[in-house]
Amino acid sequence: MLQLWSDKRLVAFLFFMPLLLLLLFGFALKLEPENVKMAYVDDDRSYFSNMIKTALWSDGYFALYAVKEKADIVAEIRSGRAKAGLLIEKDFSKLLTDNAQPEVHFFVDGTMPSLATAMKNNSATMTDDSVTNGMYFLDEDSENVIIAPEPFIKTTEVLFNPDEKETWFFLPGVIGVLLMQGALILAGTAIVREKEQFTLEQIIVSPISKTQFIIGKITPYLLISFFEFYFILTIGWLIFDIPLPASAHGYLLMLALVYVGAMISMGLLISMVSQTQEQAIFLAIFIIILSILLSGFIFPIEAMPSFIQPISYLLPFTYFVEIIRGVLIKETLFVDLAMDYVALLGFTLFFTILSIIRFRKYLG
Amino acid sequence: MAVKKCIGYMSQNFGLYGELSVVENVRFYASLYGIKDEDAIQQLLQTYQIDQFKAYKAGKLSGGYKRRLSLVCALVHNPDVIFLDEPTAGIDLVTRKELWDLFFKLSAEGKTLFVTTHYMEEAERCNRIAFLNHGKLVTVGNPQRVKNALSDVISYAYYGDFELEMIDVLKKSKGIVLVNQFGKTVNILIDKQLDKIALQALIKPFIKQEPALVQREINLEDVFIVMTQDETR
Repeated sequence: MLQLWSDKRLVAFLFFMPLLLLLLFGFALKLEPENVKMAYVDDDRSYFSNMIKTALWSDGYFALYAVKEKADIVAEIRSGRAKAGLLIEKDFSKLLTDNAQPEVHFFVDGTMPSLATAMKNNSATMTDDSVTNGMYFLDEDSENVIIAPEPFIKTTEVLFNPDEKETWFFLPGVIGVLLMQGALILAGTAIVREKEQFTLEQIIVSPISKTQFIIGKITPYLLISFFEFYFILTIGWLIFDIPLPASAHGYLLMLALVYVGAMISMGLLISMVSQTQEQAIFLAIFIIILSILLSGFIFPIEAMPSFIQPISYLLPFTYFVEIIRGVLIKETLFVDLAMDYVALLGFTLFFTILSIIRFRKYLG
Repeated sequence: MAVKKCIGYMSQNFGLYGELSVVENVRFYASLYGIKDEDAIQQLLQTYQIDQFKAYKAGKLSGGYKRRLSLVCALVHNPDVIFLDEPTAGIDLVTRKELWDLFFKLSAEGKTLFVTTHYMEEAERCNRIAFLNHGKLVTVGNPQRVKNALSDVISYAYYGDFELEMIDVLKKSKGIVLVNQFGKTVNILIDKQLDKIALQALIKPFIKQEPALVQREINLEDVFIVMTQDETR
């Protein structure tokens, strides 16, 4: 007890981490999406189509914005700018008044684990009585027309993952989690162990420079993590049949490079700021849990409170999830993922520079 | 960088990779200096009598052999100056002697050894010593010169029974520089102005007879304590 208590930082971790995670689960994380970006095309532009959009909007689940045509809806979802889509065709009002049960088309990003299911349920609000009743009384003076119990039919198309395979939801992200685990813990304990075992002392008096030392320490981890990336990917592909589009190879290689870079440099920084190996491992696990919860890997970022969302974008894993789902499942265009790659590269540089500064300070 | 190639450092803490074998550790440290000469490495292991353990994991070695291995790793690039940070702290007497034999051998080969130690009899073996107290240099010079700092002090050893109160009274008496008790022996350092008779008079009340005082040589421990006691108090 006394021994544990003597490591104040570790004790702080022990209490701070559960508290933070508890608060996150309690307040911030919801499987129900909120403010889901929805690209819509309203070719009907009628009182009725407006009614549907308003119902969707006021519900709070969706944030709607207009695009030109149906192809744009798919493009918006593929790029990641929208997670859902709505198409109301030109003859909607006419078919409605003809009592011919027109269709309202919904589209949903199939790579979002919870969204597709939630969509099917939540978009039901627009068929609420308050909406449909209004459709019966278009003209107050005219006689009520008895139309079908459901004035229109709602169809939902799950894009990119039509069978809604759960492995497609989770597996790409899992690759990143497993890689993060290995990289953060390996690199995270690397330097702090040298400090603890006093081998750093011995190395510093040798003619090896600081940079050489760091490069020597992290190169094996970089290689192992790089290999691990393809190893896990291959297993996922062989056993779970995750898609591997021909276009993906180059993008995957780039992703492997920047993500492994970001993870190892983050591990290096953990190692530089930790005083003991226990602290390093705690810190690594903390970041892993935070990444899993806040990256959009399971819980949609849109549904998190606005003060939590910035944290999501401070986690490299968020960008990894975006890229790997884009590359493997959605075949997103490179332009739309370029910023995510840049973010990961930025993290790599940022963590590396911080580590070097920290290392200099430690030796000084 | 040029300096680093000429110096060797043996850490007080076993600064080697416990999970690597003895020979792997030596090879690794040799590689840091660009040395790949396997024969030289094997020769070094033999010279320092650690070759029979070369396949052992370094972490499994006994304390004495760990020190040997640290020394070998510090010497692997044949440095001119070797820094030894408390090389014999917590080491049994036999190993300590063996290590010092090795140090003298290195010294005879023309190498400069820079040793830190808390043991004054070890310091006495060196050509030049420096006292450090709270990071400040107190004195420096060869052992004789350092001892000369107390040239106006005489040291007596008292053997026999006494009341403990005597120590306290002596410490507070004028002209007494240092009182240092070793079991039944008390070393008393006095100012030259205070003579043996005066000292005997001080002791007498506590033993009820004429005290037996033998003059003794001042050693480095006396010098160190006298020089640092004022600051330490």
